[in-house]
Amino acid sequence: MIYLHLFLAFMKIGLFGFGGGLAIIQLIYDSIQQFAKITPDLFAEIVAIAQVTPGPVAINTATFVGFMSAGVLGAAVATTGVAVPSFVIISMVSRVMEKFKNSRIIKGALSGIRPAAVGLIASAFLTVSKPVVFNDAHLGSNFHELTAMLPQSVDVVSIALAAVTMVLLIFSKKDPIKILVVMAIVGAVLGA
Amino acid sequence: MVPILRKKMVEELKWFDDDEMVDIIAICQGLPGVLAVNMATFVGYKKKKLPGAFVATLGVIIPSFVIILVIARFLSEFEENVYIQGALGGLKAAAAALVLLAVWQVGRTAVSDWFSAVCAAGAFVLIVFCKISVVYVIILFLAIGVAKEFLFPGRPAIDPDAMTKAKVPGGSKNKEKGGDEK
Repeated sequence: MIYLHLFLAFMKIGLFGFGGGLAIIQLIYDSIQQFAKITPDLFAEIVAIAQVTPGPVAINTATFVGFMSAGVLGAAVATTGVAVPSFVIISMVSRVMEKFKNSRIIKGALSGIRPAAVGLIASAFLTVSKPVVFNDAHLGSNFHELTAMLPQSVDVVSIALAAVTMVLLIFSKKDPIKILVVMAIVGAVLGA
Repeated sequence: MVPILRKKMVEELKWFDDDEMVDIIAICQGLPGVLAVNMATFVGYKKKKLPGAFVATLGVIIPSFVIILVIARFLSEFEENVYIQGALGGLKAAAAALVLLAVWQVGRTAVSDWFSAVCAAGAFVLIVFCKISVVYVIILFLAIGVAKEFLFPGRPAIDPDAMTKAKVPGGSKNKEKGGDEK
């Protein structure tokens, strides 16, 4: 029963999703392995699109994963699943806001999960960068006379694009979304 | 997302003042789930209880939902197209770089002492090398944080100053960079 699997998996993601959108990415990847037929390559594509699309990255990813696993209903089930725990928890907490703010348990739990989220994002980086390095369809097929000269074990063109992006993200003042869109256009010209 | 919400709630609608908003952001960041959904639910609940929370949550989800469905449909039509696949390849490479940048940006605010450094490295090692399920890793570090708080009480975790500095990955990163240089 794919819909039930999706709903429960994304409810779990909503319940344990600490540390922001990109930390949740790794949790999503981990939670859908068992039942959804999402390859690492497809997952990396989904995350990439989720980052340039308006709206929260985790919601975009949930909708996309749900759709790729089980169509429109799958998307609806996954997206609802990830929001349900928030809905329940917030409805309860907003009544006891002061108590919550001063709770030592909450304070302590956050002091552990905040830095751990850095480790989660770092593992999400490995998850989405492996399909870039070992790309199934190497970038640059429109110029295959040139790219044939490059080593074929890794996707050199993709790695170069990622490196250029990194430099632009750090040194240019442009919106990251715009930089990503430019890289998509470069990719389209190169072909795959 | 957070700056947009704040502007709308505080400046335009005047539903909350700035202090209330800082509290709401702090609490929503401390709770599990997607921050934007948490904030929508919270604001909705404050205004109109459960029905308010419900419509606000729905409102923040629906645009994402529709946009992603359109994109996913569109892409499934062009699985063999070299240009579309090339664009996806370029996007994938660039997005990986953005995630790496987020490791640095989140790390800079979240890792400040030996304890937080060990937590960050520990979570990474447990997931990547020990292949421990991410949910268990999250539960473990929540528990470690609680244990540390009761054994060695430290500075407050919900720190209003940190809130303004902390950035949501995928959000407006340039603003943060600009702010640091001033």
